[in-house]
Parts: sequence; C-alpha cells; structure tokens
Amino acid sequence: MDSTRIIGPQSWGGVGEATQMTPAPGYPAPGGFDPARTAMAGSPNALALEMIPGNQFAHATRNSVEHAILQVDASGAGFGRRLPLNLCLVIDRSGSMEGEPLEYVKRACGHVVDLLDPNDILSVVTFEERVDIVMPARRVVNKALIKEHINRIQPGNTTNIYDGIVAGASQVASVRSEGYVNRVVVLTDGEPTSGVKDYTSIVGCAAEQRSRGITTTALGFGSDYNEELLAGLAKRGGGNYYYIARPELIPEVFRSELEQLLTIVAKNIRLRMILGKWVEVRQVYGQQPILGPRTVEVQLPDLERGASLRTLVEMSFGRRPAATYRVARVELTYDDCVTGAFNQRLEGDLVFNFATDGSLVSSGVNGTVQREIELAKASRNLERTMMGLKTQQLTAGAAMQDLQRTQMLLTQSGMQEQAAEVGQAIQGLRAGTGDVEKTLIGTMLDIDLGKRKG
Amino acid sequence: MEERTMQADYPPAYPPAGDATQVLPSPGGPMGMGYGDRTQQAITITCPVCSTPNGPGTAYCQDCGLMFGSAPAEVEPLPDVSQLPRLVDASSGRELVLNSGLNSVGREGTDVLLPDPTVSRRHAQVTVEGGQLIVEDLGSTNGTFVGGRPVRPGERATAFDGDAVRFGSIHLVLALPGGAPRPADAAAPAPAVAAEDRGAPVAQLRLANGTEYQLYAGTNTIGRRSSNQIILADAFASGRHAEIDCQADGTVVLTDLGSTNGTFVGGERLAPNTPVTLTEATQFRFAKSDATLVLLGEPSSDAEATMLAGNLGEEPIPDAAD
Repeated sequence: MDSTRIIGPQSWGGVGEATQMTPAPGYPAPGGFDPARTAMAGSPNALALEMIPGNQFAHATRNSVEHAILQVDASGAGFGRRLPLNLCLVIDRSGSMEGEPLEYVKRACGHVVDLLDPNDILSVVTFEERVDIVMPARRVVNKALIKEHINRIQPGNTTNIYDGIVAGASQVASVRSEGYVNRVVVLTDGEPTSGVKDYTSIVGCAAEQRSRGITTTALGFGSDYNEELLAGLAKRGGGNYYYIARPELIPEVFRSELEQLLTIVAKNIRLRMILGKWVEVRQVYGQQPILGPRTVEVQLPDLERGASLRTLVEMSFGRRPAATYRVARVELTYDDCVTGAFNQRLEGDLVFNFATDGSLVSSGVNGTVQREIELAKASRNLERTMMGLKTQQLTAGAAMQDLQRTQMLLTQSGMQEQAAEVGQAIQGLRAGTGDVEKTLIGTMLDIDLGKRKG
Repeated sequence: MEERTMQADYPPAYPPAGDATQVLPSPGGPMGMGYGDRTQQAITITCPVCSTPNGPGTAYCQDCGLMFGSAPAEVEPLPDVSQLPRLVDASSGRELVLNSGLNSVGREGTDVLLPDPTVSRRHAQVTVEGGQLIVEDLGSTNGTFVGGRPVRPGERATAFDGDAVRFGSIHLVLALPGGAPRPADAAAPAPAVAAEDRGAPVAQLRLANGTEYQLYAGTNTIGRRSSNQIILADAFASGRHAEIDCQADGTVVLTDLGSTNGTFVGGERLAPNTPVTLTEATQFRFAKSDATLVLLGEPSSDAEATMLAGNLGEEPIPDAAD
C-alpha cells in the first residue's frame, strides 16, 4: 500500500487545497483546476496539511510583506494500534524533594506503570548530585516489581539536572528507536546546583537528543525551579512543559503526559518550504528555522490525535507582473504512528494573486491569519510583561491590564486552555502569590507552537 | 478591473534572441521551444514572466511560481534590470539577476536556477565582488567553465564583464555594469594555470550514486567544505574527510583525516592518518558514500567532451541537507 499522497498541481483538490483561493475573476483557470472541490474526508493519513494565505491578494507593483499559516492537523487521524512507548522518567530526588513531593512522585510513577502495556519500554533514573539508574530500560511486564524499584527512591542532596538528562536519554537510546515514541520526562523542583549548570549546555543536550528522535518533556514542581531552563528544555526538546504548583497535582500531570504519549499519531514531523523567485522568508514565529538557499525548514513536536499545529510565516515578496503565483511549495514529512509507516509525505502549494489594484489587497485580508499575527504579538507582550514583573519595572496593576488584553485575544483565537492559564496568572497577581512567570512561560510556549487541541 | 483578453497561445514576453527556429542545444531530454514557435512542437512551457523552461503539464513555473494561464496576454515588462549584475542566457534571453554577495547556482532551489539535466542540483556558487564575479564549482557532474576554461572544484575563477560562463551545457554571459572588462594582458585565468600544474587526471573517484571526480598526481583532498579538491555532497561527510594521494610510481593511497563518520575500506573503518593502498578492486566508503577507484590510461585531449558524453542524463549529486 502506498500511503504517500502528493497534493500538487497535477492532482487538484485534496487536503492541500482546502483554503486556496481560486484565480481572481477575469483570469481563466488553468486546465484541470476545479475550485469547487473541497478537502477529502476520512483521509488515510495521520496528518493533513493546509495552507492559509494571509491575504487573497498581494501587491504586484511594489515589494510587500505578507503572512501565511501552514497548518498541520491530526484531527482526522484514524484509529489503529498505537506505536509502543520508549519512556524514561528522570526524577529529581534532591533534598528539597524530601517528604510529600517524593511520595507523590512515586505514586505518579506507579500510575505511569499502570497505563503502559508489555510492548512499552520504561526506565527510571533519579538524580541528586549523582545519577542512579533505578530501573534500566525494560519492557513493562512485571508491573509489581517495577513499582517496588520505584518505591525505594530516597532523597539525596544536590541537583544535577544535566547528568540526569544524559542518563535518561541514554536509557531511551539503548533501545532501537524508530518503531517507538521515544521520550524522556524530567521532573525537578530546583535549579541545577551540581554538574553542568549552564542553560546552553543543558538545553543543547536536549536539542541534540531531539535530532536523534528522542523528545524531552520538562515538569517543574514548586516555586523554586528555573522556569526559563525548563521551558527551554521543553521547547528545544520537542516535548511539553508543565508547572506543578503543589505535590498532590503531580500524579495528574504525569497522567496527562502519558495520555498525550499514548495518543501520538505522528512523530518526526518536519515542514519545509521551497520558495519561488522574488520570495524571502523573514521569520517563522516561535521557531528557529533551518535556512537553505531557497528553502526554510522547521521541526514540529510530536502530535497527538485531535490536535493541530499552526506555523505562522512572514514573507517578503518582490514586485512582479500581475498574475497568480505559487510563492512556495510546502512539503510535510512525518512518521505515521498509526500505520507504522515512516517518511510519509504530503505536499501543497501556497498561492497568492498578485494584483495591481491596491484596494483588492486592503480588502482581501484573511481574519484567521490576522488573529494569529496578533497572537504572536501577544506572546511577545507576555514575555515583556514577565520581564517587567521580574525586574519590577512594571506594577502589578499594569501587568494585570496587559494580561487581560492577552486573555481576551486567546479566547477569541480558540485557545481556551491558554486563556484560562492567563486568568490564573491574573488571580495570582491579584492575590499577591508569586509563580505567575512559571505559568505564563508555558502559555507562551503553547502560543509559539500554535497548538490547538481538537 | 481591466478587461484582459486571453489568446490561444502564450507568446513569450521576451522573444528569443536570434533565429526563432533555432533549436536549443541540449544533449538529451525533450527541450523544445516554447509555445510561441509554431515550427517546433510545443513540448515544454516557457514561462512568459521569467522565461524559464518548464516540463509539459506543469501548472506553476518552477522558478517564479507563475500559475500558467493566469498572466494576461501582454505581460508588463519586469523591473529594469540593465543596471544590475546578471548572467544572461543568450539563447533564451533569460536574465538571471545576481544578488550582491554569494549566489548559489544549480538545478533546484538555488538563487540562480538553471533547470537543465546537465546542471547539478548544487552546481556552483558565484560571488559578486568588486566589479568581478568569483566563480566556484561545487563538484558538479558536467563542470563549470569561465572563458572556456574549466573551473576545478575548490578553485576560484574570476569572471569579468562580458565573459562567457558555462554551467553544464548552459551558456551564459556575464553582464556587470560598471565592472572592468577582462584585462587584455592578463595571463590565463588561475584555474588553467592550476590545471597545467596538475597535469592530466591519473585516476577517477567514482561514487555509487554515479558522480565521478578526477584525481590528479599528488594529494587530492576530499570533504564537504568547498576548500577541498573533491567536494562531497554527503551530509555525513566531514568538512575535511580524507585525502587520496596519487604517487609518482602509480600507487594510489587513501588516508582518513579524522572524520566523524569514518572512511571504510572493505567494511573496516580506517584509523585516522593511516594511509592504505587502493586498487581498482577495493571497495571503500566515505561516511555513507560508497566509492571505487578507476585508473585512467592516456588522458583525454578534450576533457569537456569526455565528461559530457559520459554523463548524459545522469543523476547529478544530490543536495546535502543543509
């Protein structure tokens, strides 16, 4: 069975065309193009690719800047056997975790064991100053025995996050990984106090693992951890970031992370744009794209069923004779976790009508893309608000106003979870409790990824 | 909105220079004239905006992305390019404007896009610098030539206003307004001097993907960086990966220079800086690129013809993933 689908000019219609405009009135449609044809339902692929130009029209007679959304959608993914997990739990057992926190962690790890099945592989690593392999990578067959190992975890002294991550990744890497969803989940309550401590090295380690197919999720517990470090770990590591305010919330967060892992339908997702003449990509919001001579590539996190990711791209267009142009070919490659087929490929075209009439451009703006642009600005605003609070250049009152505006924007854009997070931050400010930054940095991460849950 | 009438065929905006019935020279593949020439079969579509030839049945121009059929019959002239540095394709009239600084040249996804089977995907790079064009070949299959002289991979040739620059079988002329023409008393360009220094190739390095490199007497450096004599497009190769020494007595020796992903002979990884003799029977490999050695007899008198004849329609070097 050939699951590769090419959606390109030779096969008009299909998912890639769903939001393409038809050629402007007065221009004939090229042979074969049927603008009335809509997206195919029940696609056999785990993912769907959609291009949403920021404007039906672009300026033909002058250089201009336009945006577009490239949307990767897992909402239509069929059900099937899931890929087995290859998971390592990397747990901070430094002195500050003693007592309730560590007990809840053990309980949470027990829940994880319960949720896995004998095809999954689990390893458990703890770190304080040194690293201990509580349980090397093995299939989850004897659940009682595994839980016994976990229950023996004792608190120690200092916090060596780097060695913990390295050990976790090497446990996961000890298994041949293509046929698994590979993830390291790190939980810590503090700053790194021993081993390699600098942000760049720790985050760089996670980024390197990611390029080998091992993603990293960072769980921050309590009020003393370094949220920038953990958010950076999650972002470059391609996993999630969670802020856990109280110990009793730990098991729930582990369960949430597992649920995502168990419903991942695509991994190793890469989005690539091949640009036409007179097109430059100025930025890809929230991403560090890999730039080639006429190509732009971003790596996207693993996607669970029902979720979608929006990548917002800002481009500059050179002027040209008025006509319809494909400004970029878009290629999506991924490993399908439902069918187990690797290097699946979807293609599509990003097309704009270049017109000499400027009023067409003014009235052709796409609302969805506009909102996404504002969201991106909101994310930067959040960052500034956070910095302002931290450096005390911003009063709580002014920060609350900023946050309220952002909250409204998030609600309008369908990011309810993130709107609620901002709401919590506002409450926190009002009540004078800290940790606003720990929540908001997660919100920013989500906005930057453009992730929406179906 | 203005009324625009469509005509049944799409005359190219830039009439081809010279005789309209002239066939574009090409060693293989269907490369006929565009729609406008009724004496030839319209096999390919010439883009009315940028004059790039496109395969039959494509809906968008592969270079500028024009949706064929959406341009009006009279295409407004492109912005005036006569003051910009550019390479001009005499046969099609296509003007390839150069960016200041570095421009990649190749068949796919490059600044200077030459969609022709004799042009490699990453063929060369040219830099506009101080009224001159610096031309470097990136290890292309069919070679790069300035003023008729070959540019060896890793060497930098200089082209002046009015010089002929050739990539594969695409002949271009450099237009550098304000640049000085080639000095009349200049010695032969550097690559020719180097070629005479190195003599004729004594052997060839052939990769499994079909790419062939000439090996000369003395040391031939191999790696990803363009400073090498042999530039590997394998993403797993190191910047300085290995070198092959063709010694005076005819022995050919391979040495790994401490590469990351290794050089392998007969499946065994070589220790760095430990030379190993190669024969035509040796199976060796740089990272993921399998290779063999071919010893050459008498050097060919016309190196260009040999290369072109031997590499018709061959799959050129694939892009490195950078």
